[in-house]
Amino acid sequence: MTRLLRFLLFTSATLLVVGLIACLSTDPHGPGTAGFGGVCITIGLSMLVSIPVFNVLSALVTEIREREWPFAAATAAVVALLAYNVLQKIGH
Amino acid sequence: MLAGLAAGCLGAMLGLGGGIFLVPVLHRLVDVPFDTATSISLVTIIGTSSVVSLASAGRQFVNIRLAVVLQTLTVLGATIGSYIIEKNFLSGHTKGRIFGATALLVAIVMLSRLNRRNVIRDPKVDPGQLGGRFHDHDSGEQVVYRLRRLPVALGMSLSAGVLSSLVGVGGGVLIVPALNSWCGIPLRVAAATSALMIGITAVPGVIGHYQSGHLTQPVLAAAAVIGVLIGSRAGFWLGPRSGVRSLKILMAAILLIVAVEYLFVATQ
Repeated sequence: MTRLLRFLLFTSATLLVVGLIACLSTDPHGPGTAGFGGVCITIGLSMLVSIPVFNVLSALVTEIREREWPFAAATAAVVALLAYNVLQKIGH
Repeated sequence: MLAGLAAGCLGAMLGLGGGIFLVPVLHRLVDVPFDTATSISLVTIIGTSSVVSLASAGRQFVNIRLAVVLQTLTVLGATIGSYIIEKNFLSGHTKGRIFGATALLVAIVMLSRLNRRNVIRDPKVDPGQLGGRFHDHDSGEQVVYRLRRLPVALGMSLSAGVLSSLVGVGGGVLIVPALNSWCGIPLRVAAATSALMIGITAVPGVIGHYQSGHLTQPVLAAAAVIGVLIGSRAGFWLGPRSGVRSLKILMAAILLIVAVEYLFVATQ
């Protein structure tokens, strides 16, 4: 799981760099977000934002594997609260 | 990008989100609208959190189990804070003063315990369910730490959640010194654990800002995040070379600036 998360972080950083260069080279006076650069930045930022969610899910899997039920319950509570807050924001 | 670099460096060394630093720079110097500056700051917080939790230099200090246990109370506190805001129980001045007074108190406690290391040099000692082990750069040995006063840690996480909702700052500025000064957690572990926590807390905020149309300058966000990613690496390099005592003094100085800002400047 750590490898997958590191890959996500690396890919996200690469997309952000590529997107930033593409946006700045397209319009050096006022960076626009349309086209290839904008798409790269949007995907890069989305991947970055997903990392903490995967981090908590990874912790949940670890606690369940180790049969540490009180900690698994606490982690599940964090996942549930996170999901609730995200869904609430999307609903707005 | 330079502001992101400084925020990432502080985040990796002290577990702060950097919002206290990044938002004023983007808002006042770069002339970015306040909501956009806040949304960019939240994205960079996730950047710092991701680097600290995944890079091998930071990962050994992250206590994921402790972070999750404290996170439940922080989220509950943030919900209570939102309720207080909805019901208008406190004026803006009162909220700022409560936060300023708390930051001042934590800074004084931190300065009074500068020499406390919170590490046990015998690696055979059982760290307990919420403690851990790591390689200590200062002594060059494997050391153990144990969590003390769990109710204090939980209470402080709850308070940090309430205050972060009320005044719009990450909880790291309170959680790191509290864990270090009162709960037996070494500063670097407290900082890395806090960095993981604030990343989790920031996710709904980023989505909310995106939905509300505040993330209008993704190019600036990308530049700030790249700065944070580079700054975090610099923080990992600087952290072990700075010594725990210097880091504590830096943390206390930041807390004092925050306290003065909220007690005297922001409330005028």
